[in-house]
Amino acid sequence: MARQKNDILQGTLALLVLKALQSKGPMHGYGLTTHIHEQSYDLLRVEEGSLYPALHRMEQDGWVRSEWKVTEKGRRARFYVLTPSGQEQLVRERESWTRLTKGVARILREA
Amino acid sequence: MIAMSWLTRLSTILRRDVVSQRISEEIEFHLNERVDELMEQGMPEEKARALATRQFGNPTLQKERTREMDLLGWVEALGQNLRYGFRMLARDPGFTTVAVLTLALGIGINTSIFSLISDRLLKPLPFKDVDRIVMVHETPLNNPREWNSAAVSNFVAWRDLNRVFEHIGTVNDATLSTAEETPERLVGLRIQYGYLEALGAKPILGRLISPADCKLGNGEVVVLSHKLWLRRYNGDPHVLGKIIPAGLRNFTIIGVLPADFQSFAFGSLAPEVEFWIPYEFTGTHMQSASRYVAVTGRLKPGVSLEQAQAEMTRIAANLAQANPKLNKGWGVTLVPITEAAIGDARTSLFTLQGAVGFVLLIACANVAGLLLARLSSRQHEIGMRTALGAGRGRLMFQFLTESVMLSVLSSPLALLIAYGGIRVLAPYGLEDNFKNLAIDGRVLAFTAFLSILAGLLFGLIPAMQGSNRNLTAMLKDSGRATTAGSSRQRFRSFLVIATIASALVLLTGTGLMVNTFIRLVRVAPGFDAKNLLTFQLLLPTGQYFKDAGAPNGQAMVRPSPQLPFVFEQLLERLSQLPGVQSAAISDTPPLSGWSHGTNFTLDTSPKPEPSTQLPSAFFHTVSADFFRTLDVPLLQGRPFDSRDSSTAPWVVIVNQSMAQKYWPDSNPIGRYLTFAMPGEEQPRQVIGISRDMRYGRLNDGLIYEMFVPHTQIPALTGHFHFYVRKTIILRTTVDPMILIPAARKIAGQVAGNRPITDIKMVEEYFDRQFQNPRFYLLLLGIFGATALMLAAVGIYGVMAYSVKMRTHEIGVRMALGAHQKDAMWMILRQGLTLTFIGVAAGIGGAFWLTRFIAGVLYGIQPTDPATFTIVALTMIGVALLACLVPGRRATNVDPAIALRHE
Repeated sequence: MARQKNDILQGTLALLVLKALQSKGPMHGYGLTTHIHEQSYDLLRVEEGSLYPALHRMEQDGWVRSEWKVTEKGRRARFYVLTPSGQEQLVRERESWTRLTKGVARILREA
Repeated sequence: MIAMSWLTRLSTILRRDVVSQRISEEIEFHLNERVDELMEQGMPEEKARALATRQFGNPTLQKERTREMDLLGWVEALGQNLRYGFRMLARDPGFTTVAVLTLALGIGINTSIFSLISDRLLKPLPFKDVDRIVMVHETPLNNPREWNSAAVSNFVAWRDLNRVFEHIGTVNDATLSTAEETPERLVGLRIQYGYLEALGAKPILGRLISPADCKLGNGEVVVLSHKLWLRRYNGDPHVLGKIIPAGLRNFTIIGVLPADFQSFAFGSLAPEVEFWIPYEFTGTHMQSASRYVAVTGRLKPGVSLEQAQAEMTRIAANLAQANPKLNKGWGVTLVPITEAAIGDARTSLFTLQGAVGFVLLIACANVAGLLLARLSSRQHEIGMRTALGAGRGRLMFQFLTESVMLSVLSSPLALLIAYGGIRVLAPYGLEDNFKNLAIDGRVLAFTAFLSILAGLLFGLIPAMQGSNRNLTAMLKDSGRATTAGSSRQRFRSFLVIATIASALVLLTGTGLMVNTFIRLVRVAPGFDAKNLLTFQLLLPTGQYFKDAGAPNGQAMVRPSPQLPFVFEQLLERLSQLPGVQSAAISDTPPLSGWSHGTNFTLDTSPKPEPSTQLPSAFFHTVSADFFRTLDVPLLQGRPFDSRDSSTAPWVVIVNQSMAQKYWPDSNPIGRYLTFAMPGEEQPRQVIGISRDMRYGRLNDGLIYEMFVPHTQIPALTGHFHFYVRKTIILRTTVDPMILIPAARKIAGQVAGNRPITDIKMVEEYFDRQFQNPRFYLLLLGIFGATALMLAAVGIYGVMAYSVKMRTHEIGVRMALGAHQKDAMWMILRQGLTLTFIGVAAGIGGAFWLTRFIAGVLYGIQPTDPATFTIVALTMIGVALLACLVPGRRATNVDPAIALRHE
């Protein structure tokens, strides 16, 4: 499958993951990809290869915690939970995203 | 939080396999879920799996990318950086070559000086438990750094009173000439028991020197070095009990030391020492107020240096009370033997290392300048990498990798330069200590360390500048000079200033050495040093000196009445050789650096008050034709002649400076002076004044010299004079070297088959006087020239770059009516401003730093204004030249082209 424009921009992935974990609670990686895909009305697709490195890094930065659990289908999966510092990070990422979109929108209007 | 994150990463490294396992599992789970979903939509399993995998991408790659978050990822990143760095360096061979050459020069010069330091200062002394061995010095209470040897009586008291030394002994030099068919001259030491034990010597045959051996009259025993044992006795296991005849005394061999044992005497290892004999203390020794025995001790196990020092300080205080005449104001200082071995060398070597440190700094500054200039051409690449998500850390890492690569690439060349440097410098050796220089493991390690350090040093600022991802500035900067560019240029200006300042400091050192050298060469020895041949004759005491009893409790020998006739005959036959103009005797060769000195009184009283400060002067015992042979005129009075026999009243000739100093208003001829020396029984009458010369060495300034007839020498305290050494001087009309065989033959016939040694032309001694200044001149000359060259290149680089950046501006100015010379002036002004600031800083630095070479300067102050001026002008001149080329380029700017220049 060729890369399309709806692939998620680098840097915004963390924002989306944090937001998903905040609204839906503990989730595994696959759950995150489907959740983001559905919530964006199929507009956004998580580049699956970037997801796990990103999750790993977020865990090292202390924004998420993870543990092994068994899914409804009986498979072992790693579930991710938002930490308090992840909450704070979400606020920050959200603000910077808003600033960015506003700025870009303005430039586009002027052009 | 940060700390925790690092802890997490650290634990990640430790659990790397676990992490890897976990990611595999997660990915597997992900793929399975995806396959399930696709199958629910009706896709066959095989197809679903293939699609899921393709969609996911390469699982191995994902794992790799995840791992890059770990510290271990840095190692992998380093590999990438290295590959990338190689490509970057290969793409710009001009830059790479200049940078590598510059660094190799800087690092190479540092390595060669370090090999000196490594050899002199860092090699451990070859003694067992070397940290237990100390030198015990007598030091004035107000200056514990002034290390003196000890008075014999004090040494004996220390040995009796202390409870901190396991062994304590002392040493003085001894040389003997064997009384045999073919005499051999041996170099050894007189020691008191305890000395060899303190150094940890263990004999392989026999025993060491015992307390009983050191009792007066028992001293005719000898311990052999391994070398002497092999040479003289072919390693004979039954050598003990054999006898070495040495004139008045015969030494019985009592022991042999192992091959790896070396003596330590007079501040350094003494591998040339071949034997050890007892040092018997006579009454004179015990009463002497001179401090001349070097004391070495080994601390008892468990006694610390501080404890030992405290005890010795206490003992010294008691001795000062008991014998205030000798010891008032004196204390004792213990110096670990390792420190004693380094001694004075430390200052001169660290001065040199400091000087070459400046060369390296200049090299680093230049390469940093080049890197900064290159940054502008890499703007696009940096922007690209930033856009692709490279973090600031990663960019810095890349730049530092490249700069360290540069310096590491330069290190093989640096080693080559260092090796060449050592080979070139060796013949100019400082105190003959260059022979064992080698590039060993420690030197290699130093080079490796230095190259990495240098890489970080010159790479850091460019790396910080380069990784500064200010996108707006970067975008704007891709066109003309603006903020980021000019801040870079500011930094390059700073580098140029630092370069000029460093170069100026080095050049000042060079200038001072050149001045010293010129002044030294101009110093006339006061006699014609050409066509003078000298050699030495060793006369054993047994044959030519008679036992004179022991008048003051010390054994004396007196020259036999026959000796003057032997000399007379020798000189007569030598002077009859064709090509010999005249022949004379002296005690030491001219300009050999050796001179005896003595105190004297200006009247006839033989026993001066011991407390009074006596004047002193050098003296030489010479024959009648001495002044004629050296071609030194007498200004007044008469030379020595046959009247001045041993039975006639004693006489002396003084030099001009001495006559002016001590008899400024009267005629010295006919006046008396008395030497304060043991055995000097009569006052000496002044019979002549000789023109000043520098007999002992060149750089002594104003010196006082006296000459006495060799026939009128006092009785000698005999126990340690195994021979008398005389110097023969021949003035020749032909090449002196061709006279050597004839002279050797005559000396053999007349003086009973004595060996003649140290055959040299006086010019060789003369030349040796320049050894140290020449060495420093050579080194500082190389450093100074290198620094000047590098500084010129650095200025040129910055100015050329500046012209390039200001092309547009210059174009505008010219379009508005500026003249070519205005453009030129604009560039020159910029260059000269930097130069003047650098020169000012350099003068300040040199003013403070040149004091470290004050010790090797002669006839010039370390802050000599003329030298400073000339050096500053030279620097400014070179800087001006370096600015002229870019300046001319600025004048050639065509406004039409420049305005279109992007």
